Amino acid sequence: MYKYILKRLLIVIPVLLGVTFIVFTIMYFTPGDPVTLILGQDAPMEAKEQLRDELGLNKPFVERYVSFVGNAFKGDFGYSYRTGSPVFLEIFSRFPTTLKLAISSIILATMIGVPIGILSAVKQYSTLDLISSVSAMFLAAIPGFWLGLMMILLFSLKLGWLPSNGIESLASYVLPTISLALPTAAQILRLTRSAMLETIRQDYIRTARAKGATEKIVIWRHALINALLPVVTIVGMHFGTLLGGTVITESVYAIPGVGTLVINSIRMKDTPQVLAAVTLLSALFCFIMLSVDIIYAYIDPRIKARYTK
Amino acid sequence: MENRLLEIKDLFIEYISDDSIVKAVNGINLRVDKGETLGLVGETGAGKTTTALSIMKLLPLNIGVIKEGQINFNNKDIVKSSEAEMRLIRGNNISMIFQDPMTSLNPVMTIGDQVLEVLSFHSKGTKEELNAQVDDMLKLVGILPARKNEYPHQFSGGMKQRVVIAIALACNPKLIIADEPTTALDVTIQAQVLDIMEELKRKLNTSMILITHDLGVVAQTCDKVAIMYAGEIIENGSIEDIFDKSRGHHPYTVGLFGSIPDLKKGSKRLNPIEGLIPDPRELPAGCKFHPRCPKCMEICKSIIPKDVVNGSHIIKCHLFNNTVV
Amino acid sequence: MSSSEISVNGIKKYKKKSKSYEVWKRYRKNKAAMVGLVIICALILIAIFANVIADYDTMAIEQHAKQRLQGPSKQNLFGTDAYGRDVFSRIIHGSRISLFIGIASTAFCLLIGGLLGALAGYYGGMLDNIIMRVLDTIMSIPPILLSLSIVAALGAGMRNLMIAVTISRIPSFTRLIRASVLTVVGEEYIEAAKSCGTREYRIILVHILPNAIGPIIVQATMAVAQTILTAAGLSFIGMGIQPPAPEWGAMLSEAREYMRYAPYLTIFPGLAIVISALSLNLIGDGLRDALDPKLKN
Repeated sequence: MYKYILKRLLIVIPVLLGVTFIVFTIMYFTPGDPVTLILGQDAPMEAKEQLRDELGLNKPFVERYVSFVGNAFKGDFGYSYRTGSPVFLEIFSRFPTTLKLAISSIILATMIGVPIGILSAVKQYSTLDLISSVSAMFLAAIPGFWLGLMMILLFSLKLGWLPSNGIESLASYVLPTISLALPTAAQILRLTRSAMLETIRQDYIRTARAKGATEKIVIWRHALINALLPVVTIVGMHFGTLLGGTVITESVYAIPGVGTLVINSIRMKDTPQVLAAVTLLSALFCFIMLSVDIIYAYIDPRIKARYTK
Repeated sequence: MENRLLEIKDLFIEYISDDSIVKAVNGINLRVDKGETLGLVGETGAGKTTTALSIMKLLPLNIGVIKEGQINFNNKDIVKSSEAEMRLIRGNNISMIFQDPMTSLNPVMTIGDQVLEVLSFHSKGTKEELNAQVDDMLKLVGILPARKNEYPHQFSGGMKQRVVIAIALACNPKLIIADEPTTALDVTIQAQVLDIMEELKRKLNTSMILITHDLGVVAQTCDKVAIMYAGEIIENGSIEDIFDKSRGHHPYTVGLFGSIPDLKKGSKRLNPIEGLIPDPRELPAGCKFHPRCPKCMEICKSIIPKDVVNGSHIIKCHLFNNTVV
Repeated sequence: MSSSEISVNGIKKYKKKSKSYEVWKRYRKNKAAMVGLVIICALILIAIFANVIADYDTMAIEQHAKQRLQGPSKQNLFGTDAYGRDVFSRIIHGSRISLFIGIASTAFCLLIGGLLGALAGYYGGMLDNIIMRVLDTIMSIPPILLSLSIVAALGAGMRNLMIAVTISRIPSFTRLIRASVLTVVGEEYIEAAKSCGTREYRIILVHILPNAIGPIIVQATMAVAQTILTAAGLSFIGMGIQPPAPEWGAMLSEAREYMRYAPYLTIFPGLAIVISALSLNLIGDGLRDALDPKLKN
């Protein structure tokens, strides 16, 4: 088992390297001169050239990338072009906010999506199934940011119940979490439902019934575990989508999280900042997927067997 | 009369879907006595599995419907039984072995637990007692009890089928329905599995309905044979009756036997039965075999044949009306 | 369906025609799916005839300061926005943009993802490994972040938005097509074709793809919906289609400032997005049920 975990952990490193390479390349081709942005349009040429040299902007692509990676391994991701402070300073001050938002959203989405998905599958064609399927269909078509705007309209502006921006209180997390969670919950519900339906059709479910098992046992002991395997993967993957979704949601609710940092840094061509933030979020995603794979391996003996010889 | 274990009378089963009604079983009569093995033979789509599932009342909910008829098990008509009553019977008095061992077992449960499960539903006893029974069953089917904490994927197809057999027999059922238990297995494994089933049948005096399309297997293991076509039993009798070449048989039966290549006689071509089995949504009028029958008469096209009885041998064919077979 | 006269060529022809027809028959029965189809057709017609319904320049782009922020009325069905432009016309023209991005981007994804997936699945080995590793890396970046970065690099605008969205979606299509190809490649009729000496590209085109196409079409339909949503999101934060183009997401971004006084500005573009995505999802679901009816029961 440990071999499996170790192996998967080791794979994360080249993947993250690949991620940095991709983002680095993209940022390299981003037009706009950071030096001009930092010093201003009217700064003298010499000052600009000097700053360019200092920042290493004149070196060729490969050299810049290699030195970036070299420094990264030492834990040094460079300094923000915009603020001059180490990139992670800014990120770490905002990271808890984004994390709170992302985690509470995925938990809410899972708590809504999975149980209702399972119930809908077990009681196919019932009223519950019909209502939840239709609702999920609608919610899956609603863009998260529009849901956010609509909720601000209703709950903040018209009713005044909840704050619409910032993060002063716990209440300010309510609307953003819901607008992130609901569309995701809809997707999770639909996928869970079809995974459950698929599982119920399997031959071994028929065998369980042929043994004289009650429906409860058939569902809980035989169907659920087998259906949950793909569901775990689905939830993990949606976490990744959610991480991206927080970027837009933070924009809607004016939340000072990593998402707004990324958007602003991109606008300012603050390459080191963007690199660090995107790499961090990707790393987070990688670890979530790693956890998903490990959970999968624990539950499914077929996979466990492959790695515990 | 006391020997009678299962009696099916005039059973009609339909599958109802959005766009059609499939007449899967059209008035069959079957009887299985204690300790007897009945072979149920026919091509794919003849209605054998449907019949088997109906005995266990495991037809797909709301889709498979028993329209008419009785299924008398131990003198009780289980067509009228509730789901709760059926649950006491399934796995306990009547067990079923399904066709594909590769998918019949839950992949995330150990095989020991899967055998234990059926015992826990129907047997009373302490945990140790039940576990001991699990060990006994595994030994009986030729699996080392030490392997009971292993998972299905660690077993080969033949071994998996043995686990399925162990599960089916664990509660000592009076009747086992085996739906093509060896079709998915190699010929050599097939022989092994059949031997095990034979042995257990003898030891425990269990009755069996063996569904197969392999006449060789039938000859080896069955006491009685029923031949099914398009949801009807067109010929029925003891092994001697059916395999006796000197008697008259239903043309379909003749076709079935004739299509087996004879090693002794040299022949240039195979002798399949002409045509295909009818679409169950649009069954032919009269005798359902008539479009393919080499001996088809006018009456066959419109009148459904009645059973012609000769002792234990029953043939459903106009050819034998008013004659003694 | 009947089991009457059969001839060798007759079977082949008969089967081919009846399979799509059967699928269509089943699809037709699904009311929700038909509604989706009707809506999408209406949308496509609206997009095509946008200029007929409302002239682009005068209605959608030209600003009329005197008519700012007026609620829905007989002249302006959906009201006017902060620049006095008719919201209804803007939404009509916005359908062109959204549908175009959705369909074109998905088409490219299918092409490129299809090629990569088919190659990876069919040839396996080193090629498969390399392609999958690269895809895994791309997929490790949350998709919106990836699109964001690409748009940042290339600059905002329709073409770059499309490139960004396409690239972030290629991996999932490649995976899907590779999986479909893998399931089919193992089948015996492929072996049979190979043993007859059939050329490889023929095997892929004639044997593999038609059998794998079902789930791919379903995915593609859902992908168009997803793309429309993503493009709207990116435009909303200013990283997509730029004003004054009447893209629905960009319209929502402009509408934000005036949410308090003119809530209708936020409602209509959003509804347009929802209706488009919803109809596509309905079609996708309907197709899935029609292609494999066993899944229903």
